[in-house]
Amino acid sequence: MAEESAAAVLVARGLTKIYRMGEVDVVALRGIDLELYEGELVVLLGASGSGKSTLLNILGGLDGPTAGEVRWREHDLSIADDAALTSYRREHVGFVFQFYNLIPSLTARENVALVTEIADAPMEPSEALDLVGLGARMDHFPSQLSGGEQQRVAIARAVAKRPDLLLCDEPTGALDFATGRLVLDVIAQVNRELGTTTVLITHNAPIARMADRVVTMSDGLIKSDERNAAKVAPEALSW
Amino acid sequence: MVTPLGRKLLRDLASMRGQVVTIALVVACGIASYVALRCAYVSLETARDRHYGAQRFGDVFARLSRAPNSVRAKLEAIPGVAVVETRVVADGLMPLDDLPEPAVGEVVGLPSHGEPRLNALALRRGRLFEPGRADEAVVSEAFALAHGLEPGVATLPIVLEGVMHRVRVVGIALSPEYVFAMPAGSVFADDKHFGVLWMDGAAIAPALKVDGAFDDVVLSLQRDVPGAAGAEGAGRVSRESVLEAVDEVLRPYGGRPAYARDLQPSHQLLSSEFAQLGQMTTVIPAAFLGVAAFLLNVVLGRVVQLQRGQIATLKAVGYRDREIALHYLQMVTLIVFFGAALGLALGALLGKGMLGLYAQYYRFPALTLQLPARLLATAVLASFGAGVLGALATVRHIARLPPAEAMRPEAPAIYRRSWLERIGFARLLGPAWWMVARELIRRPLRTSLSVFGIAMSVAVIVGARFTYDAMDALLDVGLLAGQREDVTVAFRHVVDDRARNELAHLPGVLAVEPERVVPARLRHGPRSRALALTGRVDGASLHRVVEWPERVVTIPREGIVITKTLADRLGVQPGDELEVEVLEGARPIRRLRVAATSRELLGLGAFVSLGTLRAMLDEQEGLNGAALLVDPRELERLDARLRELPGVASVSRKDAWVELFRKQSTDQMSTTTMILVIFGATIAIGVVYNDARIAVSMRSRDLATLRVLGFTTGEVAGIVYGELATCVLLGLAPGLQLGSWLMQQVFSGASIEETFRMPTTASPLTFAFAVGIVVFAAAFSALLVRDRLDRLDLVEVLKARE
Ligand SMILES: Nc1ncnc2c1ncn2[C@@H]1O[C@H](COP(=O)(O)OP(=O)(O)O)[C@@H](O)[C@H]1O
Ligand SMILES: [Mg+2]
Repeated sequence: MAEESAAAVLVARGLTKIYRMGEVDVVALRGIDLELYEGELVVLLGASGSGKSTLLNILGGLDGPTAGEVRWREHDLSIADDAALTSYRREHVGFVFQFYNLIPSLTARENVALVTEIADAPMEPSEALDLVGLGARMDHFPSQLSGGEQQRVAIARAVAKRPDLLLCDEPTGALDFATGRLVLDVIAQVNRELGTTTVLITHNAPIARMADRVVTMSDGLIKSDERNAAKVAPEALSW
Repeated sequence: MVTPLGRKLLRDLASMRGQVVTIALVVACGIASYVALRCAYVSLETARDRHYGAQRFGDVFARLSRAPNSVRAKLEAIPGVAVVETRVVADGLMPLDDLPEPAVGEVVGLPSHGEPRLNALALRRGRLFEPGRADEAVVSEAFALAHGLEPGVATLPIVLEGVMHRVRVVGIALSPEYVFAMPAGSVFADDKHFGVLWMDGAAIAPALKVDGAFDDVVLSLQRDVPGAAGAEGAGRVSRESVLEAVDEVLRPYGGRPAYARDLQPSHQLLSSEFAQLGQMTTVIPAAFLGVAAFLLNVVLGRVVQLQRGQIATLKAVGYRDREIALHYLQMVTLIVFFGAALGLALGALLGKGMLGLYAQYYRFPALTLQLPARLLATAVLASFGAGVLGALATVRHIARLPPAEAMRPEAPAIYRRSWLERIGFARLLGPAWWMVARELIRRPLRTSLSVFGIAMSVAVIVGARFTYDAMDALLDVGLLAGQREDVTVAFRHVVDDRARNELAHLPGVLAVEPERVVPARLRHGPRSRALALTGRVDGASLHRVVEWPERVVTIPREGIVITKTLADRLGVQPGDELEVEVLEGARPIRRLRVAATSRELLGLGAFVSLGTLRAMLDEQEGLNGAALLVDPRELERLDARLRELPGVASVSRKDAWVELFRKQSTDQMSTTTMILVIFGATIAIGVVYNDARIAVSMRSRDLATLRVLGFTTGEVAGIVYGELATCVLLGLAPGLQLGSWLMQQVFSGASIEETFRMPTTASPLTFAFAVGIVVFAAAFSALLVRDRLDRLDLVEVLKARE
């Protein structure tokens, strides 16, 4: 539960991102200023194409900005090279993607082990899977799991290394309502129990009610950035 | 413990086992051919060196007219000389029933106890001659085998100094001096035409008219003379100084320039054969490994493309480029490892087989397979090199793949209207063919590599069957066109011209062509060669010199015609003069101008007109052989009649030796051919199967969409197969070219033509054979993926991915 007074762990200043598509330039971000505070759960809201994923990718060190600055604690990510970004992701960030991105040839446990293998002080893969309620299905392959289960495995994989930052890009985008709510529940639980700073992207406005803070994007700009006074548990959501 | 990435690796490999197997097999062919060829090569060298050592092969050799045995002491006194062996060496003709022309027998005189200090014998069967017996001989193994001579049973007729002797074969032996009996690649060669008879030198001296004298010298150098076998030291004495000193000593006795081992005929041929073999040991395996590298490149490229999302995920969760690249390199490494393991085992097996074949060309007392660890390691390293080479582009691609961008599904491939379409070609064919043509043109590199792979496979199979063409050509042109007689008769003594009439009046004889054959030594500078010199009547029509392809070479009144191979060996060209020494009677020596060289397919031959030969011999008439054209119905009866005639030494029937030749050549070739055909088919399957798998996997979405639109499975398969068929068709013609070219390279080497000139084009039958096998292998591999085409998931296609 973050206070405004808590330390900002991630700071973005004047971020712009321009995709060069042959002749045309696509401006995805037009100058973003944003701070993320320790332990808070931020929902990033916005229409499709508004630049949410682009921003998240830059915050997570998957991509670099065209201009502007990103700082992770005392590290400047905007001038970091490939190897430094990889280390940043490896040590600090957990990702959850819309399409789960599990390795199809590995079981649930092995998918999690993929990450614990290279992390510093990780959980046991089984512990992470227990956390998302899949302890019983550890030895199933992705193809033997439902979409919601796959996404929970992805969350287990993201949190098993005890990341400082959990970035979720439309984690419920490919799921039905009930399953999606279950997944959000797990994310909220991780945020609550492990105190992981979490950013959750969605284009579903009602989901914003589970956040500590709601950031709204539109056309590459931040339109609003508000504390959510009436935070509710995911079970109470409907969309 | 297996890491998660390790598990992924194994499961990925298991799911693509068809591709793993086909590629591993191509790698295995490469490794196997390398190991087999290289080990055979090393084994041969080892066997040679051991033979030279154990039988004390000399360092310096010299021939002379004749010198009293007392001269030997002068040779021994030359500084740097270790051991001197002097002896008598003489050549005589051996008329044999199983040859149309007489064979040359080289009689080498040994000490009576049979154990010379240099160039000793490795006795293989039977025993040495009894001291003092002039009618016992130990015979060279190759010759004995070629004629099926049994020690203790067989006797040989040999004409020495104009007198026919019957010599009993008591033993069979090898000598470092005569290792090279028959060049690789030839099948029917000097083995039959050239035999060595080791006899008691003192006992046969009278028959050779050289009592108390010698005409041949072998000597070894002291260990510290530079150039001596195994020598390193550098003193005042050198090999050259010894050669000069030997020449000095022998000059008064008609000595010819002494020469060292590198010019000793057997050793020289052996060296150039080995050099050529050494070359082959790199060319063939390199071709296979090249194809393997290409296949790995294509398949790995596809795997990485399919796993873009997985690679991106690995990057996103913090795996480094290096770790991911290593993961895919391991995939390649494992495939190569399977191939290499199989290849090593197969190679050892093939090596043993090849050695068996080589043992027929190169005769060594102990030819055992060597499998040096370093060589095996090189093979494995080379295959891993090919694997890494194939993976390189992909690994670079992985490093360049940005983790964020890869999260998105791949954008539709970019197609452009190709030049084929712009010229209106595709309009003739319809939309399915546009798809095929665009697909091929969109990836020109992969298409051309596939075409190259097919070409390689065709080439290997052409190479495999080419030897049969060579045999056919050899038989048709080299033998049958030149030997149009039915029976060849050799007489015990020179007979006068009346014999011709007597033969002509025998029942069934349609034509008679008399011949005069003498043993002769042809010399040009330091090079020389003993062979049968044939004098033929003008306009001879039964025995002819026929040049490849099919031109009859007329023998002029003046001058001598020799085969091109002999000309090369002696270093002469038409217009040059040769010294011809008749090796019997008065031993006349004449200089004859080379009137023409004939590119005869077969062997070493020398021909003059009967008039020229008689002039040399100072004879008015006389013949010692004849070719007969015979009424086939009378053949058996005539054969029997001829054998009863007291003056006839041998009766050689063409039908008999043609059959023998056919049998021998097919026996030797079928295994090699089979192995090469399997290798070639493996390449074709490797290329087509992997291309097919990739075509299906890359385009399964497009193809499924076509199915949804109402195309039948047959039509959809047609598009994929059209692509494959185009590659195969494009590869056929270059493959045939490449195959012919490769064969020319292999056979045009230095000395392989000693007795056998290869024709330079493969026959239509061989082309058809190669095309047939490759098309069959391609169709087979294509059918293996048919199943996948039929199981295209139509529903999955309709599910949009973002
Ligand atoms: N790799 C890319 N290349 C070109 N344009 C891109 C790329 N990624 C995103 N865009 C464009 O940038 C804009 C923002 O995209 P994105 O960040 O994915 O939006 P959101 O996640 O909010 O839907 C869009 O117009 C999109 O088309
Ligand atoms: Mg998005």
